[in-house]
Amino acid sequence: MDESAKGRTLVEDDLTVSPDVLAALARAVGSPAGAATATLVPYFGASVGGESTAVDGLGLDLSRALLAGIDYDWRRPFTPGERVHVRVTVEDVFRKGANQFGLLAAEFTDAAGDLVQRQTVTFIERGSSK
Amino acid sequence: MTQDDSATPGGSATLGERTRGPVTRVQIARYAGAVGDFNPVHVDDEFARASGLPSVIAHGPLTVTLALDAVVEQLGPQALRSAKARLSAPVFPGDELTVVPTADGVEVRKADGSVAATLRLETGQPETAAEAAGTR
Repeated sequence: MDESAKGRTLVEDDLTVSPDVLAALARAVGSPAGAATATLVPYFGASVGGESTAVDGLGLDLSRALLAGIDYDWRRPFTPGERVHVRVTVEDVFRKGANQFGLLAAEFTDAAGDLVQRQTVTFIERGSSK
Repeated sequence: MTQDDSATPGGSATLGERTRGPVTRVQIARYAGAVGDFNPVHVDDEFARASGLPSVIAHGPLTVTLALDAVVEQLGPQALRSAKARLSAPVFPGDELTVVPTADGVEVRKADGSVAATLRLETGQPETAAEAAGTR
């Protein structure tokens, strides 16, 4: 993991919360509440800018990397069809014992600039030698 | 914890136990497509076995989403303020998940009793049953 990545902005973009994406996620959840749940978690901060966002941004070695946790802070669910701005940054990269930890923060704001959701995604790279 | 146990995350709502799954390969593939995460450990058995796993595994965020879904089913999406999810064991195709209330949220248990994920939750006011069901 690249400890010099701390503070780096990996993604900054405007997105439309596509009803199709929400429907696809609801289908993956597969429960009666799935459509409502989808409005809380339509994006994964580590892949919102493409599936290589976390791998390239943190310098992850996928053979030794684990997703350890995700924190969500919600101000409200996403509204189907709304435009949001997303910014993904490397909040921290640090070593603890033989392992390295990388934290990505993803903030989603609405057209008025108000926060909709903040995610913090934590990766562990086991036995890092870098 | 028994079927009758409940919790009051954030001190504002009571949760009951719910089941999700069994998780399927199709479900994992659908989730991969929905969020754009095609890490081969989730969709390629050969890659997963080369990584020391018996098969592909569910995305961690999918496990968390299924746990949140069990909460949303009961409280509605507007009630959730925050979740701190920690992943502790992989979820494989065929795993049935039980979302069990704890003192400060829920945990996701597999059939063998192991804990796949723990979520600390903060909630606001629960919605009406109609709102929780997404019908209003």
